[in-house]
Amino acid sequence: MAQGNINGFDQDFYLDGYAISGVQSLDGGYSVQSDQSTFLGNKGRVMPFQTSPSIGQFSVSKDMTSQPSGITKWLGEEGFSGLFKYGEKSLAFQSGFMTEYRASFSPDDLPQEQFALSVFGEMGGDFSVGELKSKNETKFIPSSSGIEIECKGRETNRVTSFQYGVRVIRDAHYGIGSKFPKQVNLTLPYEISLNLTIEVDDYESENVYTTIRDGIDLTGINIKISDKCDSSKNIEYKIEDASIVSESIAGNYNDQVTASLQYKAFSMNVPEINYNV
Amino acid sequence: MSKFIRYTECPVKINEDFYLAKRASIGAQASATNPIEFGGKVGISTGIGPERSEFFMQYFVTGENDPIANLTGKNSCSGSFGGIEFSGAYLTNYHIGIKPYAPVEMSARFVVLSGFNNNIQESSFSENDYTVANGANVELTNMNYLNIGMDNPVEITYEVACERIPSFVIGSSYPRHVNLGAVEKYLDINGDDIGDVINYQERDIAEISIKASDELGRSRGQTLFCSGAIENQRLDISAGGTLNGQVSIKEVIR
Repeated sequence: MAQGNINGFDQDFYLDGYAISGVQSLDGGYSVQSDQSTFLGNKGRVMPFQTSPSIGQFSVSKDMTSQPSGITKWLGEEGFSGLFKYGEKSLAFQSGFMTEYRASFSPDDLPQEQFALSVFGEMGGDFSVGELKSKNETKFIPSSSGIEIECKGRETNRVTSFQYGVRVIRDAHYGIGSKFPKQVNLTLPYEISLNLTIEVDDYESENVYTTIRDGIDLTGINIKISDKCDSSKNIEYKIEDASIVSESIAGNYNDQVTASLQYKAFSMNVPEINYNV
Repeated sequence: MSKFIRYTECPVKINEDFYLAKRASIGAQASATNPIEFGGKVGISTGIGPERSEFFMQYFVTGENDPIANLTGKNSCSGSFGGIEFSGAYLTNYHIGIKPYAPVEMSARFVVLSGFNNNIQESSFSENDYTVANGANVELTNMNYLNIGMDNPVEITYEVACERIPSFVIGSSYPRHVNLGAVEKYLDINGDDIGDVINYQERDIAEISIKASDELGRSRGQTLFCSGAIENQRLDISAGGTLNGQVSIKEVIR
């Protein structure tokens, strides 16, 4: 007999055994790569063959209501287990690796974090990933007035929103005769991106041919986000050697002129995110 | 009237057995020369030597044994390709490719020394219950660091090359008999690094065995064996990748 719907109160998401707070939505699953068997002269049954390992994917969106170092520490080499619990059932994985992390901020909204995981190895509903616990997390709710950005054009122009992102490639190596990967490599470099939208006072675009004349201009960018109640609690994102990869300026007859800037940087080290919480 | 024949109407057969082939080709090549005639005229003559025909197929094994693996000796075989029939075919190359999680794929190359009969004719067969070996279900023996310098092979190719020496007599287009020449096995393995054995040329190895199975653990094709010596070793890497070791082993059977 059907037990009824499973609403948000009966859903939890765990990484490495600990519950993750602030999760707004998630989507997890896997795909099986197969090829149909068609052969010369054969008009018999067409059977599918598996042709490469099944890879699971998880994408999670959450409010940043607690210090998020528990998430970004997974940008390193290590893998972790995870479990999405819904009612009495679950979707679990043994070995997940973070492939993307994004944090986005805009005035009057709670900051958002999104991350994506690739799962290599077993995934499904009928195995355990160990004891499940809740962490005593420090509350951290940033306010838009507590966002400081040091970058070109910021001194006299107002940043209205930004999105910080990190992407990393994970390569799973399978041996012959093995169903599970022998090793999952992090393929460097990390790709770090920053998208900014600013309200223009006196921002001026670079000339398109400046980069080919003078070389690509590299700049350092610092972003500090402070807690709404206690400014000594903050998160700092540091990007070194960022270069602008796109720039657009938009005008509107009944609105302000805005500029959208996209920076990218590449790093051989784990991106620097400092949590002073 | 010409027409296009679909792949489902062009089966391949060796010794009365249909094979689950992905690709097949057949061809004949005549020996030709350009004789210069009196007065400088250049012609073409194709009748100066026997015709060399070849049949190739790439296929999957669905039973416990692959009958083609037993053709590396002196015996010839017959076969057909979309209705074109041939006999007096000799296996010259038998090849197996194994990659993780990929179906284990065989290929065979034959020299055909008896010409062809019949024309292309549509036909088909119906195979409904079959499974193939997969690289995730391959059992390896002695393929380890101590023996060949790597623990994690990621690609294996196994090959048997059989030399065929036809003996022609004057007045006949076909050989009177075909001798078996050299038979050599080659085993090429790619995998993690081989740093410790790259200095050891001509290093003898313990016999390696490779047993391929389907997802239910049923053998698909005979167990393959190779001993012999390491003939070639290589390490390579490119930006964004991982260090890859390659070991080539050669065994001379005759």
